Amino acid sequence: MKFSLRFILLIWSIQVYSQNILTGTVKTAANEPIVGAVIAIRETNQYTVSDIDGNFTLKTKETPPFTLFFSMVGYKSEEVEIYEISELPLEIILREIVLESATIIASREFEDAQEIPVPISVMSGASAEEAGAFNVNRLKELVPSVQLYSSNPRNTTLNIRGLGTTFGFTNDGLDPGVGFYIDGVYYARPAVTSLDFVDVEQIEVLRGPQGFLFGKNTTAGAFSVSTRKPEFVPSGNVEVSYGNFHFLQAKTSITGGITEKIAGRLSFSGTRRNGLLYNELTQQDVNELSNLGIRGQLLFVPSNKVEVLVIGDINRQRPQGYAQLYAGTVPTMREPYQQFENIISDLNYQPIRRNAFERIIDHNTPWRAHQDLGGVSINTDIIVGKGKISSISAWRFWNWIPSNDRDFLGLDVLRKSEAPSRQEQYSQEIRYKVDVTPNLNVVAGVFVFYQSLKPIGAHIEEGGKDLWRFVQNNPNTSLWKTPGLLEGYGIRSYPIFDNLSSAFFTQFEWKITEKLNLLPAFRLNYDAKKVSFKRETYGGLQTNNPQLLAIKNSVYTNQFFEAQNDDINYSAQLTTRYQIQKNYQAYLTYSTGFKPIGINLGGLPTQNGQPLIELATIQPERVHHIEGGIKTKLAENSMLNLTIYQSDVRNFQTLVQSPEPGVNRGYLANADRVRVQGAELDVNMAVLKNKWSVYGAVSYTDGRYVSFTNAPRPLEETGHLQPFKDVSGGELPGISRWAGSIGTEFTQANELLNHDGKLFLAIETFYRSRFSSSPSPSKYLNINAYSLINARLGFRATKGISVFVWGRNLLNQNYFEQLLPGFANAGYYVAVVGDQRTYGITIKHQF
Amino acid sequence: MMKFRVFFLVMFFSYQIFAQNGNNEIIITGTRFTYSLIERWAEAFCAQYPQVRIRIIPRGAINADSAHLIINAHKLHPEEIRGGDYVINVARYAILPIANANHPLLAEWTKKPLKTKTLQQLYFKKYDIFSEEEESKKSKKEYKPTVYTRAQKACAPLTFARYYGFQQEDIFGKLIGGDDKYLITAIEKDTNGITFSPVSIMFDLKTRRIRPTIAAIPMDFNENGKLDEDENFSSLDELLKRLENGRVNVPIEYINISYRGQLIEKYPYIYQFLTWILSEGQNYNHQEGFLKFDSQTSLFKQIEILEASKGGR
Repeated sequence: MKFSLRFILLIWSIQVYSQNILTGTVKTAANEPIVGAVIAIRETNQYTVSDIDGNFTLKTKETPPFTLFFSMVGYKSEEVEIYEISELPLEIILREIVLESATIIASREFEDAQEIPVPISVMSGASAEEAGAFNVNRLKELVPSVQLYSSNPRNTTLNIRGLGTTFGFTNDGLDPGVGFYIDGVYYARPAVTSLDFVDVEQIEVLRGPQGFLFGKNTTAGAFSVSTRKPEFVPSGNVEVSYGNFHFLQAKTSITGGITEKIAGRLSFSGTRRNGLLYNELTQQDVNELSNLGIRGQLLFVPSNKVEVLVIGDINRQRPQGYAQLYAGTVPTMREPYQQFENIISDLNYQPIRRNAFERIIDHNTPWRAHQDLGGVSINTDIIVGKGKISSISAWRFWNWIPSNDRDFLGLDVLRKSEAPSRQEQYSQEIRYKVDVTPNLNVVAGVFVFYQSLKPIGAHIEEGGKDLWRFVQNNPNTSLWKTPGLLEGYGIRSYPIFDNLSSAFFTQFEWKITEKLNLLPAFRLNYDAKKVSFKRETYGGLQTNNPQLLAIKNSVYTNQFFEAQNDDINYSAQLTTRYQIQKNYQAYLTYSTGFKPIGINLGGLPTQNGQPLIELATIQPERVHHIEGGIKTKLAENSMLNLTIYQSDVRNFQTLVQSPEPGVNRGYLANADRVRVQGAELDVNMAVLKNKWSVYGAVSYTDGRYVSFTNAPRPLEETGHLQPFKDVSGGELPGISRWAGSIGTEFTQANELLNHDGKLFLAIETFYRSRFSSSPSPSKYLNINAYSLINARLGFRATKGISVFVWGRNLLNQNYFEQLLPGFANAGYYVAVVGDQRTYGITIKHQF
Repeated sequence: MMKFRVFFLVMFFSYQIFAQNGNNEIIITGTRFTYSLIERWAEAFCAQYPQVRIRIIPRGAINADSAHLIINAHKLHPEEIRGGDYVINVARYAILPIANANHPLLAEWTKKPLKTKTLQQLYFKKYDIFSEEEESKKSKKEYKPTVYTRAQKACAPLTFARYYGFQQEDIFGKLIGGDDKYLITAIEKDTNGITFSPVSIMFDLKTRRIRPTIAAIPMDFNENGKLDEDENFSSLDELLKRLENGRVNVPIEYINISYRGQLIEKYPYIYQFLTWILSEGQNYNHQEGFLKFDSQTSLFKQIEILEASKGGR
């Protein structure tokens, strides 16, 4: 018996001491436990989460010394240098902050945003939700350097500092300049920005060229969204919001351990809202929300050195949506009979409202923006030696089933305009990060991405009975009026696109001295793109009359082309970081970036009825970027960051709008040279014992075409004898010279239903100066300066019930988000109008 | 290898505790930096009483109820004392502010030693935003040293903070997980590092000089703006003498031992050992960098408590 006891004891000792056990408590300065704080061992994938009493236990085979990193959104992160696994529990106090920085996890390494020599904006998922920002589109007011324009999910422009994606329509044959990542998975299509946030932990916006540490090479920046991982301690939340326009949103998420080594999380989100526009013709609301999303995660931790996270999600959106409205008429350089007002007068039509802000339409083709998005990813982290291997494998799909009234009028000009598509993408990234010596660490990895894009059925553009009047190019013949000539006449396009992008990337971080670091980085890319494009005309009057056929051919023609191209390219970066003194660091970065060749997927303009095949492929875009900045922590909970940058872009990839109906969605072209330069200031301050915080960001951006001699004419110059124009020196679209947001929040500790929390009142205002909404500067397509005020008031609890009311655009400011030329550059323009005042209440229960 | 040794030792101790827990064995646990003194006492005591075994087990490797004697180096609050326990003081120790030997401000501090208020500003921060603002204004002008402190609730930081009117959590700076000696390791690696340390571990007990990698931060106790002769010291013995004479205005606290009253009856050697500590044992205090009692009265009071516990009263 005595032997058995000794033996058991021996075994117990072996088990206990063969791995180190760190224990402790995480609390607030007011001695309240912090639930859900992440306790991670730096530069490993080992972490744990504090339980309901703030206690944590972290088992590790790491031997001291190592650094333990404590972080919790809304609190200042803390580090502990572990020299010895002590029997005494660690007692960590995290202090509340207004500075939303803490941990940067884009590269899946726990790092302090203020320590990284990259300009970054960080928002917690919770703050975004409180602000009523439930998808990326609604976040742009919080980060003035970000521009997002969306005439529908497919045609979404996500830009940082004015660079990224083509302005206006999207062409799938082009790589985005702003990478979008959710949990490390690269999303190639911008429709993802319309997804509702589900379980979002944090949103990071990294400005400037990226791709040396992870993912795809992007020339303008990256959006990285991190979601809450499964946790072994069971918890959950339920949230319901109700607002005007019958806005109803429900979200829920539960997590917990399934076995000792497997934890799961299941999340659901549903959003419904009536439309913000009214169609008098159909007597229905348009631009509504109708979204459902479900997401499941399994976390498998077989040992302290291995962690596998499997994520699956499926999202379904079925809104009648994304209508744009007539916003104004522009006299063009075409003949008088081709002026818009004469055209509609001949057709006995007047726009139902001349003032877009009345938000009333009479469109006779349904607006639909149906889409399904989903996928599976596997994220694996393995500790190997002194380093860590991270692998991200993903498959995703996107089904896009739209319907648009692309004449934007109650006339039957375009009966159908839809590009139903299915995109599938596969990506694999493997990255190794290792500390070679205490002063040198290296990240190296490979990234392979493949996407295919195919039409679902066919892309269709189909004319109606009024089409003839918009495309008429000869007033002296009545042939155009031939009944049924163009009615039902259309094109079916079948673009099939394959894209392979692979890369090797590496970055070194060399601590030359305690204060001076040098970070050289390099990326080698191989890109291959292939398109097969077939377009067939159909319908209209079946005739052998050569004159009538000529008219039909002037509108739509058959097209067939195939193009493929591949390219090896490289980009490099050199960053120096200098710690001026404690809490003050400066950095200087020079980098080159590039976007690979682009391939026109929307059809090509024609000359003498033949497609201009030489326009099928456009040149890679190359960026030279220089940036300098300082990051400071002026005081506890207060920071000030300043960045100055200049990006020079050669062969800027842009989209050219054409009056030709066959390229209604524009085609791609290169602008010779573009330059964007600017400065950004980010400030956070907390005063009055952290009860009052002020935060703000200001950006100055000057984006110009340095040289673009063959730019398309702006809308008002349609009909000019020379179809192209030298716009060198002109401003780039979508960039406000000044944009800024400032917010303030008051909090007061309080109690609701026996749960501690805080009463809060937050007010935010966003301003942006006038900007051009036309790829070539226009006298008409400009959007005036506007400002918006958002606010929220409520009670925020760490557990139990939180309740708050929120309002966006409180002053009900009328503003345009985007202006676009009307059909066939006929001399009118349409608008994406900003949402009117919306408000609601959210009740959230965390358990 | 080191890890293996620790593992082996702990395993061995664990085994031993349960295997040979006889009446002639005294098990001690508690504040780590006092172990050198306790070991010295144990060694000397066992030399006189070879039939007694004294074992010092790290806290955590043993249930507090399994230890006969628990050592603490901070003043215990009544709620920290288990019912039925007796607490006697057994020695004293002092804590000094220290810096990396090459700290850039040492020369300046030698010319203009730290007044108490400056030291408070260096090490402590109230959770008051206004004082933080002042700090931040100050930090723009001065290059502020990096303070290292412990991430665990422990006797030395607690005592250091209390002496200056603060709580342990008010000490700001980088957190270190590990024993007090690792605070010294941390500042050894950082020329800008400062911390605080019990005297017994900041000195080399053989040479009786402060460790060459660190320096005591000069303090202006009489606040006359300069470093006087009696504020400067070079040897451990000189320092201990001044500390005992009450001429050095730094945190000094008792080391205490708590034990269950009924143990005294059951384990007679415990009473013998404690009595020995309060008499002969005191002669070893200086050798190990600790202080003796400040007065005979205090010492006698401990003996009275010990006697009272013997009677089970």
